[in-house]
Amino acid sequence: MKQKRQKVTASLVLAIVLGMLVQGAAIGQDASPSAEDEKITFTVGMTNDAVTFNPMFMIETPEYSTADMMWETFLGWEQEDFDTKSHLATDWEQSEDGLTWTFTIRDDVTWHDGEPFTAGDIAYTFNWILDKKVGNFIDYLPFTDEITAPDDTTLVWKTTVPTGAPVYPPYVYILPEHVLSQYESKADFKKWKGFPDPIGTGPYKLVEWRRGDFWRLEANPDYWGGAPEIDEFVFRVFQNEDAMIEALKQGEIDFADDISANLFDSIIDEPDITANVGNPTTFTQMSFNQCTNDVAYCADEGFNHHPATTDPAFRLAVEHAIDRDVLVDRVRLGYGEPGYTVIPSPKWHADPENVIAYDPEEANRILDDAGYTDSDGDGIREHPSGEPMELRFIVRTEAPETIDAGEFIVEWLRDIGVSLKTEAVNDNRLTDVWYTNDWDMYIWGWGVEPDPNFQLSTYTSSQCGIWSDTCYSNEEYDQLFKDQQSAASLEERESLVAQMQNVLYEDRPELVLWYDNYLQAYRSDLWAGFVKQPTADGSILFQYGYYSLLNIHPASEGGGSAGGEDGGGISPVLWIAIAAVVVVVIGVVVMRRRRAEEEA
Amino acid sequence: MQPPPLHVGAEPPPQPVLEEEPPPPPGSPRHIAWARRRAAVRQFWAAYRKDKMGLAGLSILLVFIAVAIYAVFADDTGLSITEATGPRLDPPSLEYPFGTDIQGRSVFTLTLHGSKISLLVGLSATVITMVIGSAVGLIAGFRGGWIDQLLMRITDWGLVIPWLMLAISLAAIFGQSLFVIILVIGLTTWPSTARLVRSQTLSVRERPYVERSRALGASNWHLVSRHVLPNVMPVIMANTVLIVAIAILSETALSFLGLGDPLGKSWGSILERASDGGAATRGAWWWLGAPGLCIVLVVLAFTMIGFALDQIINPRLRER
Repeated sequence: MKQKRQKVTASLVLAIVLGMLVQGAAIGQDASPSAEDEKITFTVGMTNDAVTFNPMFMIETPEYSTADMMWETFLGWEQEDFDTKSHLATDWEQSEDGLTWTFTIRDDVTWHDGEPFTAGDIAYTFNWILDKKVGNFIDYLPFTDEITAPDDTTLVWKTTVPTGAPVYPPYVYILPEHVLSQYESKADFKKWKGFPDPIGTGPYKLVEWRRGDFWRLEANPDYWGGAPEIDEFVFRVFQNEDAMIEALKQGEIDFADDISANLFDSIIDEPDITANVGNPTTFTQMSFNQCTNDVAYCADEGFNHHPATTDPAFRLAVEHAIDRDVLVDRVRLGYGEPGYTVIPSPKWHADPENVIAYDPEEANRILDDAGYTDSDGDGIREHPSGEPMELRFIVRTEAPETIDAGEFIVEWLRDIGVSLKTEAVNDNRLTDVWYTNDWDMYIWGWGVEPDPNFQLSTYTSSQCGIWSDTCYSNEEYDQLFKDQQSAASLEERESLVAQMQNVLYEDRPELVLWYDNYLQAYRSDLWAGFVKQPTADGSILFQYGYYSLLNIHPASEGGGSAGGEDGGGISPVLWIAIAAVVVVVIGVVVMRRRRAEEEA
Repeated sequence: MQPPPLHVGAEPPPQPVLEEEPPPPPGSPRHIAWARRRAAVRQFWAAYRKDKMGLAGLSILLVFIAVAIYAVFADDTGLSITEATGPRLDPPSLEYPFGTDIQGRSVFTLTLHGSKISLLVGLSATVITMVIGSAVGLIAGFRGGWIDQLLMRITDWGLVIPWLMLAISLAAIFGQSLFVIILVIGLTTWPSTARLVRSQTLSVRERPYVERSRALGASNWHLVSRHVLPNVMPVIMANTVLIVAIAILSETALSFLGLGDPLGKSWGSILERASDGGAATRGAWWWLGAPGLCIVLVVLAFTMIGFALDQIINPRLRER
């Protein structure tokens, strides 16, 4: 999973009510519809939904988690430490002058539809992205002169300057030429939602998708890495995390992904459940709208934000007003660490040279000095332009933790005379607001790849309107980004990456609040074979590669989704909660109907 | 039917406004009117007092109103997340009568302060409903003709549209705040009131004394304000009380669905935060229970009062 804007999107809120009722009613029943045959089914619960599985236009975590099982990248990541390893490409070498990379491509791979896979498919996919300027992927393929496939097992990648980018490696799904060539344009391709008939080379293929409910993948028995042990992989969408955790306790699902700290705390002592704390690969940040007329996308699309968000003094004061330790302790319950820079992975992480500490008095002093004064005595400062310091602040309904964090931040900023008007929206809406540049501040998150190239690319000027949260634009940073892609040595690249993290930290277009531990749990009485990536303290599923995926198997004969009924009924409290919702809904309906009848 | 003529006859001469109104002399029409009104109130209270359900509802409601008024003046630092010092998810105890939430705030304090917001939303939304509903019903019923047709089609449209969907859409368009919630509930609840008021207006309009008044040259305004409205008012009042119950439930539903102010402290918002915070999974029944019970009690109180009023006011239900 990569760009993992964490969690997703329940589309309509009515669905939440219905979903809760349906799930309430469904608890206790067997989840898998086809359990009677001997198929081994593994069910994953998540609180996110998917919008598209189009491999070039996804945004959210579950989309990437699913696409990873269907489409492959040409190089992979080691289980031990994320180092680059062979995958669809088995060997590679860089020429003496550093301008040509030559890869040897496997000859034993077939597409899901039976067509043979060749180096030509890789070259076609990369060239398509470059020709059509697919913004999501283009920064993986820098300085490209030409990419060709002289024969079926050889890929040649020529660049204009020496670069290591081809082996970072690019997180680009390889698509079949015979499918991709049917699409005239980027917009044409975007209309396809990755379903039906996704054709990939991966161990699974998507066969059923009921939006807002579940989607199902079937094993590809001809997978070149060996047929998967699990025949069916089901992703079930829960509109409510409580319901997901109950379903896990009942054995109705086998795995719960991306659990919030609050609920994770409640299952660590369950006997049949193994709860895993993965080391942080994601961060949660608070962004400030940086749109100005100098940024092309902002100028074209228009923008609307409070004048303070582009004032460095204001953002510095905000950072002084925020106590990250409290957020980690009270909101993440310790499942995370205070974050400062945008690269959490230990290999590339650089501590900021000059950490801004929690100091509300300093924050007040900075605002005073910058001309933010409370001239009308209402407790709220005014911007030097006279506009009151009332900013819009968006938190995410999909991530209740951001609402808790939001409440802390609202109170802290109130103490320095800044008023925030908070709104909680789902990710669909947030994406709209984000792309129309009509916002002041929001909290969102990123899942960061092992290699920092992609994450750092999202802050470059050209990514405004594509991946850039804030439309931050800094020529010095853009140059550093190119420099790190063409760095002559690892040491040089490391120092450039560290420098970039510091530039971002000092300019603070966004404040990294914390690094999140990746919290997952599974039924250890039913399933075995999970391995971690990285091996020491990593995640146990949805990894960079198929380490757990192809290794999970029923803990004993007759395992699967069969067990779980002996765990007793659903907790009485949940019944009460469900009953309460039912009563409220029925009450409203009945009272309204009664009124309507009396009208005559 | 022929619409009544506009502005027929002379308006009553403007009354001189006095600093202190002298008591109307006995035997004057004003005096008689006031005496009649006082008698009506006494009679109403006598009837209401006999209704046990109505009295029980009124007592519960008075308690909650007292609590809400207290909450307006009470110290609200207990609502602050940064100032919270209590243990996380502590069950009810002497120190925390309703336990604590996941951030260590007293659920009692949250619920106490929630009362003012829930009552405020309920009452304000009802005012909007009553104003719109009564105006539409009165105009449609009194004027008749194409105005009636037009207003009733709009009302029918409002009645058949799924209100929750409409409320969600409106909340999504206008953003999340207390004011929007009030507006959304008010704007989705008025059609049933309009229907009710219209049917009563139709019946009152045809009564002989209205005919007589019109024959004597009374203006439309005079007819509506002096004859129709006073006779429709009891129906509106009984309806109002029941609408408050619906409005409070609607506020709870919308806040629970996350359409209210996300950091608000209404009972619905407390329920939402409890649900998101895993209160059910973690067995923190008090976090859901306290606001839930309050909602049930207040809604029950309004409903009981509404039924009692209905018994007294509705001639078909009145025991003679």
